[in-house]
Amino acid sequence: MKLKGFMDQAYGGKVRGKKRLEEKKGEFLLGFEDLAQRLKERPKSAEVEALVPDDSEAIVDLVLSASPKDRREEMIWGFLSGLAAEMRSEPLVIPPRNYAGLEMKMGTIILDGAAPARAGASGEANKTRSAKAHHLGERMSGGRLVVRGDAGDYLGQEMAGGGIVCTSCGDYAFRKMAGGWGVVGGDAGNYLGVGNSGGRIVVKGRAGARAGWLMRSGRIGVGKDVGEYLGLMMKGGAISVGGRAGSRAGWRMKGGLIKAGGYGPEAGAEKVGGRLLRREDL
Amino acid sequence: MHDPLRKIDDLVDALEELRLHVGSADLQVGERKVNAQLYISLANACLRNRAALLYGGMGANKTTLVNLLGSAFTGLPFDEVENLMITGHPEQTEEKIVGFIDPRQWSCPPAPSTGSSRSSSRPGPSNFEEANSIQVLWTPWARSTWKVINEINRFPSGKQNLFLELIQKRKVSYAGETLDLGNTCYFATMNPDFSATYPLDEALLDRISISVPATQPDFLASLALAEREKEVCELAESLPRLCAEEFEALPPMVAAVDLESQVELSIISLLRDFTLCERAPAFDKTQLSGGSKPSRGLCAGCHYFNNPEVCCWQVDEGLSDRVRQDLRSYTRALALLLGLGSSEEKIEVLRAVAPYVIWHRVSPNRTMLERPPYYGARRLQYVKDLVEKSINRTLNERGEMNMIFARAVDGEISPREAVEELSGFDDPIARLDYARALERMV
Repeated sequence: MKLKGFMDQAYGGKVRGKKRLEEKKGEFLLGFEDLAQRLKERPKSAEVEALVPDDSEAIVDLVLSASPKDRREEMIWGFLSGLAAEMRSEPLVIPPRNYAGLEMKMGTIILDGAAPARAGASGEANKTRSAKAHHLGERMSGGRLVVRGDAGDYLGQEMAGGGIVCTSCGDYAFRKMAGGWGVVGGDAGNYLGVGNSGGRIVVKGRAGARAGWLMRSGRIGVGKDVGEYLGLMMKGGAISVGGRAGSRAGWRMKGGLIKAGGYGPEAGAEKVGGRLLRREDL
Repeated sequence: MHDPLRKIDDLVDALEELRLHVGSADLQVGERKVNAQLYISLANACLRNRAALLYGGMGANKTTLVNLLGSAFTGLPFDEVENLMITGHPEQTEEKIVGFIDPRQWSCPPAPSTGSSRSSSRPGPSNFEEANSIQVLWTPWARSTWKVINEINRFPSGKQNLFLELIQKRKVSYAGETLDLGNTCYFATMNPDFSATYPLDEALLDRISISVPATQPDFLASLALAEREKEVCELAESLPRLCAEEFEALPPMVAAVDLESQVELSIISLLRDFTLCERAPAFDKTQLSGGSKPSRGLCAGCHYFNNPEVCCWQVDEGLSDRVRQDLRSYTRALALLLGLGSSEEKIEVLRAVAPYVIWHRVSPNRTMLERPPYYGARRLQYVKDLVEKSINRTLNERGEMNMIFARAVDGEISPREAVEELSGFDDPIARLDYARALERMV
């Protein structure tokens, strides 16, 4: 008897493994909620792809008609938006929602309009939260994401390729970025490019505190002033600031380069390695 | 020949009616509750060349029960069965246990045959020099097919090694002569550590197939025992007895019990759950030695450490393949005795039997054992809980990963694809067994 027969007997044919997903490919989906029900607790991009129809317009319909209720459904919606963009030759224009362009590999998404409120949620907190979409372009490895408006927190987190353009962004933008590029037309929040190991970030306006914290490689350029603790404990890469850096820039830095128009108090305190330069010295 | 199973049922009833064994029903098998000491001893009597250890304080009816069963299964009078038994004490000698050189061979004509020994067919003293062998008088214990070793932990370690060899090789040697023991039922009894006891060798413990605690009679049992007015040897005469043919028919009946895939899979997974260790050589916990034990800090910082659903860090030792054989044998034997035939019922039998097969072979993690509800003492319950977790995990949570592995082994999907899919399963078997096997296939 083959091992599969043995296992089939042991489980009485109740477990069929992941083949179930493949077999269901092309089956009629009643809508986004139906799709979400068929997926397990922590769905992956490949599992979503295995269930959705091959037709790009059908996927776009799913994306536009969806009202994700919780974080899991938002992630499923994010995978769907990335898949839709990959299958279309022209840009996909959709309203901004959390996780838009999640794990996108190619194509273009334009996020236009106000972020809709999460289905089933209510209250003042939700209104504030839904004002900006978070986790946009997370883990993307290719393609373009254009945000016509302000992005929320965790923009381009863990991205490895592709590019993101937005007007402004919240905290933790481009965190753990490994590749690709990001352009912020206005200001960025705190913790810009934390733990980066590659990629390029340009912020035209100001950036908050701790930009380039634990950065290992890559480049960050900020047009105006930045907050305190710029390049905190950074090991490599380059940060260029057009304006002034706040206090304790380059604190405990071990490598890399920081260039700024001026520095606040205690710049380079407890520095082990790397260089801290003034623009006027260059 | 009568149905031996029916006779065994009669024997169980008779033991209770005659107040010869009145233990509580402490072994739950599915819906049914039976006495563990009695039914595990009965299961051992249905098997051959397996050793059952009855562990408990004095007066817990260990030795008497085994001798009563010996009388019923071999058809011998109770007194004779008692005489066959050997009892441990520090001065016990090999001569008293297995046999001694027949002094008559040098002074008188050949002695009559003394058993199935090779020596018995040897030439007499006249041509002794030519044959280069001597005649050994084997003890009744050595020749018996029902061997009881009473108070095994009172034998010094040298004598314990004798039993190890005996159970392993199924032969006994003395003065260069060998006696083939044939198919034998082994029983041993053991008291908790007293001053005159010796620690049991780990190798010997591994060869003891099953161990069952014998508890003191509770209040109701004591009341029942108060009704017993005759001596045990007198009452034993009333017990139903199996004839030799019926006794011999039991092992083939056990072997005919089929174990379904579900049971086999649960047994293998149970063994792997106890044996796999990410930090041991070849991921095999039986390779660990000295200070390298989970209880001595081996698991500090390990991904699975402190995960209550994972068994590996909760016991120091891995399980040998003997455990697999024992689990299969006792599951079959108990299923036969209780008349349980479906796959689900046999899983319940496995759940009931496995702790008794495993608990004497492993050392629980002290920190976990000392917590409630174990309080440092309830080792059997501790192992029961681990067994329960492992079997439940195999039946309820491992289906998908097992199917992926099976499909890859059968060539339905590529090993590379299967490894990628299995990487999502946080299970020691998937990570350490399946992934490695598939990587070898790539």
